[in-house]
Amino acid sequence: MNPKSPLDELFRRKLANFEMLPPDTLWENIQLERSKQQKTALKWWSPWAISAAVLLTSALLYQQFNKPLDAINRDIPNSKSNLSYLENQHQHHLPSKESINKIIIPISRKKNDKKRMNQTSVPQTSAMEEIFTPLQIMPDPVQETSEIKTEVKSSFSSFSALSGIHITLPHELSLYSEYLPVPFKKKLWFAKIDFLLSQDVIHNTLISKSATFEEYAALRNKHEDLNRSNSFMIRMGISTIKGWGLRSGIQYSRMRQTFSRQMPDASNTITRNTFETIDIPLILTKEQMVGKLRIGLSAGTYLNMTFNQKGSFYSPTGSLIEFTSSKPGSYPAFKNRLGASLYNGLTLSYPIGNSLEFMAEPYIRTRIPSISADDYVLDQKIWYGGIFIGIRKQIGKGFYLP
Amino acid sequence: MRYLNIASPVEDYELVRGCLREDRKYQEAIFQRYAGKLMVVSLRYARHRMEAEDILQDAFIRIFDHIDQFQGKGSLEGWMRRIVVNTALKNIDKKSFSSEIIGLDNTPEDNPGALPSVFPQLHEEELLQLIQQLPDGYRIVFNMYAIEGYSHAEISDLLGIQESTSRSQLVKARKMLQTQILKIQKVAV
Repeated sequence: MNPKSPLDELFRRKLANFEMLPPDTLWENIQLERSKQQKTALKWWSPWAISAAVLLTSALLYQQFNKPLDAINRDIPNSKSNLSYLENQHQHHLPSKESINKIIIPISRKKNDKKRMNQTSVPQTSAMEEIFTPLQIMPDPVQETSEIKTEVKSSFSSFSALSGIHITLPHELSLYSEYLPVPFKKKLWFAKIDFLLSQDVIHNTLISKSATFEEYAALRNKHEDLNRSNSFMIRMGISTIKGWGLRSGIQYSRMRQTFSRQMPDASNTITRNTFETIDIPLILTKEQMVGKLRIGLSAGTYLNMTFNQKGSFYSPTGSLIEFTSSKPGSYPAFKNRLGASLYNGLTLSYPIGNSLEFMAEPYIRTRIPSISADDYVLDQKIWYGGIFIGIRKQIGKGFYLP
Repeated sequence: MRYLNIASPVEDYELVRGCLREDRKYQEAIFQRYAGKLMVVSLRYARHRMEAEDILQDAFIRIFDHIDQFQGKGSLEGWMRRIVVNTALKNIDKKSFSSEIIGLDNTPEDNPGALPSVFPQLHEEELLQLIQQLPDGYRIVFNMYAIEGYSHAEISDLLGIQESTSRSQLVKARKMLQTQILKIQKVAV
C-alpha cells in the first residue's frame, strides 16, 4: 500500500464513487465514430488481398498434393515413369497413318454379327453408321487399349496407390496452416460449427486434347451434362471478434447424370451415371454485422479426397464403355483424386436462438484440373454453383489462443 | 439523471458478452452503467470539462473496440477505469513534469498531510475543481498516486519520468491543494 496522507485519503473517498453526467450527445458521438471506423475497416484492397492469399494457398496446396503422384510412380518397381507413360499414351491416341489403316471398327466389320450386337447393346448398324460416320476413322480407345492393357493397369495401380496418401492428409494440412493468413494474435476467438445442405447446378465441359477428337467432344458436350448434384457439409470454423475466420470440414457431394440419345431409328438410349466426391474445404472468411444480419465473404480451396464414378459413356465409335471405378477391368476414364478446386461464397446468417444462426451461402466452385484421366483423349472441366442452406451453432463462449 | 441509478439485473459478464457480439443494446447498457463514474475519472485528469468529454469519448471507443481483451480477471469497472486513465495520459506532454510553480516553496510545510478543518464540508464538485486547477504534472501524479493507488515506480514506468520527479510532483501537488483549501477556509470564516 502507498503511504497515504489524510488529504489523499479524503480526496479518494469523496471522488472514488462520485458520478457526474456526461452530455447527452456523448453516446451518439461514440456510436457515430465507431460506425465510421467500421465502414473503413474493410479497406479497398481487402478483396484483392483475400483473393491473392487464396490463390497463393491454392497454388501451394495444388503443387504439394500433386507431388506424391510422381513419387509413387517412381517407387513402383518395373513401372514406367508417369511422364513417359503419358507420352506413350498421348502418342497412342493420336492416329498415325498406319493406325488409321489398321483400325478395326466393330460396326463396319461385324455388320452381321448379331450376337456381338446384342452383347454390346450397340444400336442398329445402319443407325450407328449415320451417327458415327465422321468418327469412324477414329481409334477406339477400348480396342486399342487391349494392346497396352498391362500399362493401363499400371496406371490404375498408381492411382490406387495414391489412396495411401489419405492417411497422411491431416498431418499435411497442419503443415499448410502456416501459409494461411491469421491477422490477430492472442485475441478472443469463437468456434462455430455449420451443418449445410445444398442443391447444386453443375456445368460440365469436355475439351478434346487433339483435333482428331473435336467432333467426339462436341457430340458428348451436346448430349451430356452433369445437371444435378446434392452436397452435405459439416464445417468447423474459428473466427475473431473482428469477423476474420478460418473454416474447414468435410463435404460429400453426389452428382447424377442422365442423358438420352435419340437414334435415327427413333429408339432412345438412356444412360445414368453417378459421381461421388469427398472434399475438405479450407476457407478464409471476413464477416460483418449489418443490423442482426451477418454478411460474409468466403474464399478458399477444396482438396479432393476421393472421386468415385459409376456408369458408362459412348466411345468415339458408339460402343458403350463402362467406367465404374469399383469394378475391375472398367475403363479408367477418370482420376481417383481431383486435386484442388477454388471456392467463393457469400455467407448470410441470422440469429434464430441461443448461439444458433440460420445460414444461407450461395457459392461457385471450379475444379482446377480436369477430372478425366491424364491419358484419356478428352479433358473434362467442371463448374459448380448452388446455395448451401443450414444451421450455424456457436460452441462455448469463446477462447484465447496461446 | 438519465444514465444513473439503472436498476438492472444484468451482470457485467452478460454485458461484455453482448458487446462481443457488437450488440448495441449491451454497449449502451455498459455506457449507462459506468459513464457517470468514468466521467469523474476523466474530469480529474483533464484541465476542463470539454477535454474530459473528449477523453471519455475516446476511452469508450477503445473499450468497445478492445472488449475482447477483457479477460475477466478483475472487475470490468477497474479495467475501464484503466483505459480512461491511459487515454488521458496519451496526450500528456513530458515537459509538464518539469514545470515549477513560483512561490509554492514558501508555503508552510509543517504538516503537509494535515487536513484543513473546512475539508469535510467541501463538495465533490469543488474538490474536482481544485484538482483541475493543478498544473498538468501535479494533477496527473496526484491522481495516479492518491486516488488510483499507483506506486511511484509504476508512475515512473507509465509516464517515463524519474521516480524522484514523481515524488516531488506529488509533494508539490499536496502543498498546492492545501494552500487552495486554506484560502477557501479563510473566505468561509
